[in-house]
Amino acid sequence: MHALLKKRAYFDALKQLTQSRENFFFLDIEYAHSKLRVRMKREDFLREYVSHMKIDSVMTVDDLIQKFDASGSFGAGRVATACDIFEKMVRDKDCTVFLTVAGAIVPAGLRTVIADLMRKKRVDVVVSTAANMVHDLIEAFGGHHYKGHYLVDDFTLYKYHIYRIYDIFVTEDDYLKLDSGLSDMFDEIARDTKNQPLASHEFVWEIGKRLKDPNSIVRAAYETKTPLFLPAIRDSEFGFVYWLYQQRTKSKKLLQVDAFKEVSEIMKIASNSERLGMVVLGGGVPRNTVQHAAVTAKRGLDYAVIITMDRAETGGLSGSTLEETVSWGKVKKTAEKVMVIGDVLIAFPLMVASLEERLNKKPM
Amino acid sequence: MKERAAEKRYCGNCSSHNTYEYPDVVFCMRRFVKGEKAATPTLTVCSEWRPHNQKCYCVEDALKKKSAK
Repeated sequence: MHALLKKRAYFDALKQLTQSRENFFFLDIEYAHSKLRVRMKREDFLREYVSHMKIDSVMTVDDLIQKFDASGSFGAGRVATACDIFEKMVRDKDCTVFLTVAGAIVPAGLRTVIADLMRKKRVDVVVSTAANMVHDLIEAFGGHHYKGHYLVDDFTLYKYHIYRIYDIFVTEDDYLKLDSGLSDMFDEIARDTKNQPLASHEFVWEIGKRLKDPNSIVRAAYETKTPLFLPAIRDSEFGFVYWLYQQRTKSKKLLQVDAFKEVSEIMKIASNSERLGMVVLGGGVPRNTVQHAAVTAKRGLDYAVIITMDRAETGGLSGSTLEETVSWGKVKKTAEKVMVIGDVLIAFPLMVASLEERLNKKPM
Repeated sequence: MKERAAEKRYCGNCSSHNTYEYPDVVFCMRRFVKGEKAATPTLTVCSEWRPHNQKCYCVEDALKKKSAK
């Protein structure tokens, strides 16, 4: 059929396909074929020059992202595309934007970035590993994370009761202050909610209600009423604190956090949204939660940006490509999407800074 | 084993301890789960002492600080 396409139809189709750089997936060589299933012409591969970056002293972050876009190559090209897609999904008034958070990004310094994204309504829903919120709460309870190094004597750290997260240190003292404070809070929450089962986002809001730290993600979720789901809450310090609370509470009716209750809430959000967008930091359970909701709601994501270091070759979800998600219906075939293989701590602040600059120049 | 037997017993080298305000105050998990006050000076001890499975610096540094005063 494609062989019968007339010349004009061929060029119209080619123009549509090549509007995004991401469509040049395969070269037309003997064992691969172009999306048009016709042999592409040589000049079709040679349409746009790599533009060399010129760096000057007065550049803004978005200026640099534009240079990345002009180069269009490697991670820089992907980051530039990610910035464009992020801007589009935020500007799209009918799009519900999900931010998923996995990996030790809160202890590494992105706490305020995430809290601000909620306060400025750049994201509508956050799905996170519970561990990231534990680290948020460590700081909300007065603790700190310290710059460290990955080449240290770990047994010396053990003897000083200092824990290492790659090149970040956190003290056992700060964990214990959190454990004891949170354990008391569980008693109070159980009383105030009359022992009704809470979904994880409701539980998070109850904790947030009792915090004062304006930089806290949990506090920001409470103040802005942003659903902050922790689908694997038990797999964190929260689980251990619950065990402590269970042993010491004098109350016969325990706090209940229902792992299944939030499913209907997230399904409602996905089903009632005109369009869905996700920004994935890392991957893991949070990414799966959003993708699963999208496919179960028979929606499919319209925008998707993933920043991860994980690879696809071992079949894990975190490294699975966005093309693979199309096979499930998790992401639509026509979705605007990009996967950035890179460090979240480098790529995401660039994305957020670029977004804020663009929104400042041309407000929504 | 001889070394552990010779070690003087403190909350700071008990298996129930975690740090709370290093090195002066430890957090006693055993007292906490009983609903008692868990923050306790490193250099005290109770009758329920059990040896810590790996030695830490809590007692050593608490003693150094005490003798420096």
